[in-house]
Order: sequence, then C-alpha cells, then structure tokens
Amino acid sequence: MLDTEWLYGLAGGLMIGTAAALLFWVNGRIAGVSGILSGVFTQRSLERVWRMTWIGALVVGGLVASALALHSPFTPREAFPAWALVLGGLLVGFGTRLGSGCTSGHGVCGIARLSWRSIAATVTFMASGAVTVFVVRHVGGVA
Amino acid sequence: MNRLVLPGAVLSGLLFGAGLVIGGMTDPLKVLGFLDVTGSWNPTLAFVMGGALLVTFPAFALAKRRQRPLADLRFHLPEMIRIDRRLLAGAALFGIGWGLAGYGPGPAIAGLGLMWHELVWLLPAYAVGTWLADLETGKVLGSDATATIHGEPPGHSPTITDGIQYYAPEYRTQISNVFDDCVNHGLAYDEILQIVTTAGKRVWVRAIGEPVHDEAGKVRTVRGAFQDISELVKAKEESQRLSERLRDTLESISDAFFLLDTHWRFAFLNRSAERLLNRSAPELLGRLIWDAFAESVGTPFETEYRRAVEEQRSVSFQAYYPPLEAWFDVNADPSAEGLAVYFRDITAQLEQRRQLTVSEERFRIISQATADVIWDWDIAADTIWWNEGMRTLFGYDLDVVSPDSSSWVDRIHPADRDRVLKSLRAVIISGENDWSAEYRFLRHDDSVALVTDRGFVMRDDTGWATRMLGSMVDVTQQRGLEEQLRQSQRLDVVGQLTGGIAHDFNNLLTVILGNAEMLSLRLANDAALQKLADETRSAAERGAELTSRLLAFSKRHTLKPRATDVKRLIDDMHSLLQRTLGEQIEFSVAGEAAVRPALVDKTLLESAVLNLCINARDAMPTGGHLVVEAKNAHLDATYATRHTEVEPGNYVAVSVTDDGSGMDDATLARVFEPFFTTKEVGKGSGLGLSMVYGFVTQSRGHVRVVSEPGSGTTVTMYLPVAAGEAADEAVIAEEDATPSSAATAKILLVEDDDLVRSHVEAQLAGLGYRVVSARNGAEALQELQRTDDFDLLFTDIVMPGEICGRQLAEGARALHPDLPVLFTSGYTEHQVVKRDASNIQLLEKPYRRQALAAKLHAVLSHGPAKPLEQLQQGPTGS
Repeated sequence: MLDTEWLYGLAGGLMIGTAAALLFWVNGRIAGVSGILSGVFTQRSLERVWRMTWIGALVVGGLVASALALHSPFTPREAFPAWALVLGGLLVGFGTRLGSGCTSGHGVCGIARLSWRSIAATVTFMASGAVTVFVVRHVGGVA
Repeated sequence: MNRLVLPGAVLSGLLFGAGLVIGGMTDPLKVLGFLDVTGSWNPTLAFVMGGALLVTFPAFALAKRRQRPLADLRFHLPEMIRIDRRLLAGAALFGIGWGLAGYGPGPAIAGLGLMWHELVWLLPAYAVGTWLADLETGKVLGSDATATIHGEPPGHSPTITDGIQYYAPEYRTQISNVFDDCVNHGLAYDEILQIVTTAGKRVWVRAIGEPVHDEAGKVRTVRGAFQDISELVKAKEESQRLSERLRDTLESISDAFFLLDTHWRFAFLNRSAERLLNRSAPELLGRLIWDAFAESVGTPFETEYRRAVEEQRSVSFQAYYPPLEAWFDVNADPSAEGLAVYFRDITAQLEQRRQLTVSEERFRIISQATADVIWDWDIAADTIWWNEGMRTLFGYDLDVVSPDSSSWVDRIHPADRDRVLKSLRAVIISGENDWSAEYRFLRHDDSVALVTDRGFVMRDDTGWATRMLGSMVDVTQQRGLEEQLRQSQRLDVVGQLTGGIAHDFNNLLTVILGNAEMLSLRLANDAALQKLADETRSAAERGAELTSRLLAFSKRHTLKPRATDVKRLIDDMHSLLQRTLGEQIEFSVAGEAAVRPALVDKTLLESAVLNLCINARDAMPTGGHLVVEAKNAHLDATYATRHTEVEPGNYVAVSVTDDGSGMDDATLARVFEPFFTTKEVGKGSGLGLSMVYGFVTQSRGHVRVVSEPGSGTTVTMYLPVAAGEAADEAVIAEEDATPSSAATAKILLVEDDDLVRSHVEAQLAGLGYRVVSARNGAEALQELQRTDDFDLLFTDIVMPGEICGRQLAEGARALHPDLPVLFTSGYTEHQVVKRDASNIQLLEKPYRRQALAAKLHAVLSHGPAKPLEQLQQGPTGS
C-alpha cells in the first residue's frame, strides 16, 4: 500500500507507542505483552478482566489489520524444522518470565522510562537473538 | 474502579495489535532479518521501535511529571537500576527463542488473529474435510465437509468398501491399492482422483491418508483429509485451454512470431517463424538469440531489439538478413516478459516493387521521349491521363486541362467530331479492341493540326470496356508534304502532256511561220494578200509564244542563265511596266540597295515579272498599289523541310505585291496549274503563273504566293545567287541574215517530221544553201559515209530510232572531225552536253527565217574552233 517498507514499520511503531502511552496514562500500566498475558493466568478478578480485554483487543486489532491487508507484503517463511519452532516458543515463554519482560515491556516501555534494567535486558536479548540467527543461518545454513 | 480502565484497555489493545501487524512484526522474516546483522539486514524492527519510542518517551516523561496514577510505582528507581543475573539470563534465553521462532509474544498473539482470519475465512473455500476409517468396525467417520463433498448429508458414515465405491470406476483400483498399502505397510498416500457424487456429478478430489498405529504398532485406523479440488482443476484446465488457444492463435497467424524472455532467450516460436528462419522450435527454445543467430550481432536487428527493450517502446523496421538472403519487415514490442517479435519476409514484395519502379521509370522516360501524345482513358471514371506530348505538340498546359474526356472531345474539329465519336463508340460497343481515326484537332493557339489517333481497348472479364490506351501522331506536316508532292507530281504530269503537245505544235508552227514569211515576201506586190500573209505570220508568232510558255511551264525550255543584276533589270523595265499597268495603278519599286546577282535567264525573268504585274493589275480592276521589290533572302533548313524542292541557302528575292482582291485557300492551291484562271473566258490564258512557276523552278529557285482575300497578294520568286559578278548585258544584235554568196554551203538536214523537213528544205534552199535531207540518224550517217563534202550537219536533237541527234553528231565527228553541227529542238533532252572541242550550236524551235539564217551564217563562218555553249537543262527530278 505504502511506497516503502520502512513507512509501514514506522506507522506500526507509532501505533504501538501510542497504545503503550495510552495504557500508561489511562490505566497506569506497562504494556508488556508477556507480563499482561501471564497476569491473565495468575491474577484474578479485575486484573484478569482488563488483561483479558487487552489481549482480546490485541487479537482483534491484528485481525482487522490483516483482513484489511494494511501490512506490507508477507512472504512465508520457508521450511524450518518444527522442533526448532517449538523449542523457540518454549524459550520465549520461559525467558520472558525469567527476565520479566519482552520486546514491548523492556524494549518499548522500559527504555522510555530510562530504566537501566530494561536497557540491559534489551541489549542482552538483542545480542543473543543476533547470535542465534547467525548460528542458524550462516553456520547451520538454515533459513 | 476507573470507568476508563476497560475502554482504555480496549483501545490500547486494538492499537497495539494493529500496530504489530502493520509494522510487520508478525512477519518472522522481517524480525529475523533485523537480527541477521551479518547477512541481509532488514531495518523494519528498528523503525518500529523507533516509532514507538518517539511516542512513549515524551508520553512517559509527561506522565511522570503529571503524576499519573501508579506512575510512581513504575518509576521506582531502585527497581530500575537493579540488574541481576535472573534478568540477564532470562533476557538471553528469550533472545535465543526469539531468534529461533521469529516471533515474540506480542506478534505471536497478534498472529493468532492472522491465523484465525485465514482459517475462518479462507478454509471453507478449500473445502477440506477430514475423516477417520476404523478398521475394526470397517466404518468411515467423516467431517461435515467430507460428507458434503460426497453429496451426502452430514454425519453420513459409510463402510470402507462403500467409501471406495464413491470413486470413479477408472480410479477405484488406484485408491484401493493405496489404501491397502497404507493399512498393510503403513504407507501414507496423497492422491488426486475423481469421485462420483450421489447426484452423479464427477468431482476432482485430493485424498490424503495416513495410518494410525496402536501401542502394538499395528494399524487400527487410517485418518486423512479430503479436499474438493474442482475449482483448482477447472482453473488449471481453463488456463491450459487458454494457453492452447493462445498457442493456436499464434501458430495460425501468418506472420512469423517469436518471444524472447528478459534474458534474450527464445521462449516461443510459431510455425511461420520456424519456416522463415529455417530452424525448428525445439532447436531454438531456451537458446540465446545472439548465439543461435550469431550473424545478427551488429546488424540493425540487434540494434533495434536492444533499443526496443531499453526504451520500452515498440520498434518497426525493415532489414536484410544475409545468411537467409531475405528482406524482413519487423515489428518488436517489449513487455514485462521480454520482447515479442513479429516479422514477414518481404523479399518478393520488394522485388516486385523494384520491378514496378523500373517499369514505371521506363514508361515515364518513353512517354517523355516520344514526340507523340500518349493517352490513357479510364472509361468508368471518365478521366484521361495525357503525357507531355499534349503540351509539346499542341501547347496545352496539363495542369489546366480538365481531367475528363471533354479535354479531348471539345478540341476535335467540329466538322470531324461526330464522325470520330461515332467510330469510337462503334469500336467499344462492338467488342473490337483496335480503333483508329484521322481528324483535325485544335491546338492551344487555335491552329488546326491533322492527327492520326490510335487506341486499344482493355476489357474486364465480362467484356466490359474499362480502359483505353492510345497515341496521337501529328501528321499535319506529313500530310502537307504529301499534298505538295502530289501537287507537284500532278503538275509534272500536266507538264509532260503540255510539253508533248507544245513540241508537236512547234513543228507545225514552224511550217506555218515559215510559209507565212515566204508568202509575205512573195506577195510584196499585192498589198491585200500581203496583209493576210502578215496576219498569218503574226498569228503564228503568237502561237509560238504560247507554246513557248507552255514549254517553260513543262520545264522543257532551254534556259540561258547568267549572273543578273535584278535591280537593274527591274529598273530597265520600269517604263514598260508603267505603261502596261496603266494610270489607275500606283506602281513603285522597292528593295535593298545592294542585292546579290542572281543566276537566272534574263529574258525569262523579264517575262515572269511582266506576267506577275499583269496578274496583279487584273486583280485590281478599280486601281490600287503595286510594288516590285528585289532583296537578298535566305531560306533556312526549316523552310526547306516544308517545301520539298527547296535547298536551304542564300537567294535573291524578287516579289510583286498588290492590294487587290486576293485569293482564297482553294484558289491558292491551284494557282500554278496551267490553264487555271479566275478570269473570264478569253481574258486570260491561265498560263502566266504556271509559266513563272516552271521557269523559277527550272532555274533552281522557289516561288511563294501569299494571299488573303480582300487584302492582296504577294508573289515572291526566290532566285539562286550567282557566283560571279553580274555580267553587263550586251545586247546581242541579230546579225543580218544574208546568205553568204561566196561558196554556197552544202547542208545535211536531218529531220524526222516530213512536213517540217520539206519546209526547212525549202527555207534553206531559199537562203541559197544546197540541202541534202535525211529522215533519221541512220540515213544521215549513210550519207556522211558516202560523201564528205558537207559543210554543216543540221539536225534535230530528238529523233526516233536508234540514233538520236547527239549520237549522230558523234558519229559524224568520227567520220568528219571538222564538220560543224547545228542542233535544233523544241524539246530539250535532259542531258548535259560535255565540253569538248567540237562545234555544237543550238537553234531553238520555232525559229524565224532570220534567226535560222543568222545561225547558219555564224556556224559556217566561225568554223569549228568556236568554244561550246553548255546546254542548260532543267533541274533534275523536279
């Protein structure tokens, strides 16, 4: 739709930022997906309610955006071993709990608060992510 | 609870989810691309985070300042700076997982929306059903979709055997085999076959099956998926059919056609292309054009194709390809797929065109080079094409001439028009193809040309005349010359007749004149009788003059041309002419001062001038002006071609002009005919102009008459110029005819006419000479052989028999070399007498007694040493 890809990225980022700002201003909460999601299972009553609402809205938002094809063209990822996907998913789940945060929590909100924790966490997961990709793609020869 | 909590959560969630999708975070390749720092790096994630931070930085800072609820908790400083091993380990692990999966938690959840959308919306279109076959019960449990595909109600559960029966007969063996293999050998299958629904419809399906092993490893159930792929198959068939149709179309177009892909390789060739390029498609497909046709490199073909692709626009050109020895007309259109090239072999066409050009060129040159008019009449359209001849011959400007047949019809002489058009129509209608006609045609300057027109009719298959081609030849001049020739031939014939008559007459007149003279002498005593004799004599003299004129006309006169000063001659005649013309005519002499001398017989010229003046006088009964003019003139080659007897060169022109009644064209045409006269009977002999014509022509000159009715007439005599000076005319006095009383000469008279002979004998005797007569040359020679005492041979030049006068003279000279010979004739031979030493003199008939006597005296007394006179003869072949 848009002429260049980075505009999509920028637009998306602005929306995410606005979403996080909104949550903080109105609800006083940090928009960290992993945190909110875990809270769905661990917290109760009102906590649960707003968390579920938020997660639900996130899904709907994603649905609407993809239905309206508002994104730049996706090319599907080619054959990647299923077990690696599963392992990755497990590590994501475990790691975000251990590190109490993910890209949105640490990367967006944490840095914005100038939290040294978040900055350190972000740098770390970025680095380990890069190393992992390097190993998988250039050493392992897998996409 | 804050009323805004839930709405806030909703709005935030929506924005967050949408932002993740829009930002591309749900696309693993973008995320992994960002992490692939050593490979192809994708900056999308950086933009996303950057965009997010742009908003959150100021938002959070503001929130802190504004002391938003719970904000203080979030800015708990000790919390913010505590970096412990748990944090770092967790982050590291997360990073690894992220690098493997390509999804973070956010995108994963947002991705659910994606997947759900796919699943919910798109799956039904693929109509995938699932099923489970229980080997123990022998039944198949299928999902609703599976049942629907088979045309069965949901929940329908057939046996395995029945399930096989659904398949189309030709596929049953196949499906049984693979199912058995699956059961017995645990082989999964994925087949495309056709089933027949309960409604009898044939449906293409994809059947997938895999075995389910129990704890013992045995296959108890088979489960699989079932997909209606009709749409796919139909689409594929449609695509194939379109492709076929396209291929057929491309094959059928007569133009040769080939496709090159973006790498200049042959992607497609149709049959015409194979034929024209003399290669087969399999040989060329996939090959680089510059390899397959190496000779095309550097040629316009390569230049144009490359240009078409570079500039992305169609090109059209013609070029020669030497290896195939052919000219091609090429069109090349570039597209996203490469280059489409259409071409035709135009070698034959070009050759035809070249030949046509040559043939047209040839025609154009011929039609220009020819002096005739060439015309091309399109009968249907009624347009006529004229060549340049129309302009050069007839003076018409082709740009102005109307294109239809009126350009021709209107210019045919009115008197000939009907005849010509009728003949043309007759030819066209009758089916004949050749037409010709002779008619008068008007030139641009309104002068009339006589033309011979010939045409050829071209007809179409039904015999209808469509076109006519022809040529017009201007024969005016030719006809004119023919007419002139005919006229002069006519005059010649008449001349011969008159000449013959005149000669005979001369002989008679000689007798009459001689006798009359004799009588006149003898009757000196009887006045009355003498008067009769004198009248007889003068009548005979007049008769002689008449015959003389006739002879002049018939060009059989003997001319004595001398260099003559014509001006002086005319001046000498002035008083005579003035008297002849009378008082009513104003007479004047004109001309140049220095007129060249003319080579002409003076006497006859005088006579001619007199004649012309008399004619002029008679044309002006009530008086008028008459001018006699003498000047130098030059008749050029052009004039000579129009008048056959004229030789181009310098002449002396003597003309007589009057302003009398003039002559019309009909009269003018007959003006030189002898006995032709416009005067009343008895008033004119009609011999005057014919005599002038004969005399001038015989003198190697030319007569021209110009006349206009009511305006007057000019008759001009062009006389040849004499080489030397005009000799002073000395009047040759006639010597007194006294017979020499001393030794009476003996004359041998040779004359074939009895009457004349006896008359001349008498004359000679009367003059005191002794005469011996011979009837012809043979007799004369006999006489000459017998005796040698003749003093003179007096003979007619023309004699019947084997020996003519000249031969006789030669014979006589052989016998008696010193014998003088006197010739006489009224009838000149057309032979030039060579100069030789012998004595040849001529006495013209009719001669008066005195002239005879003088001549005899002269010949006898001057003896043989006198030089010859050349016998002048008339112009040969006129």
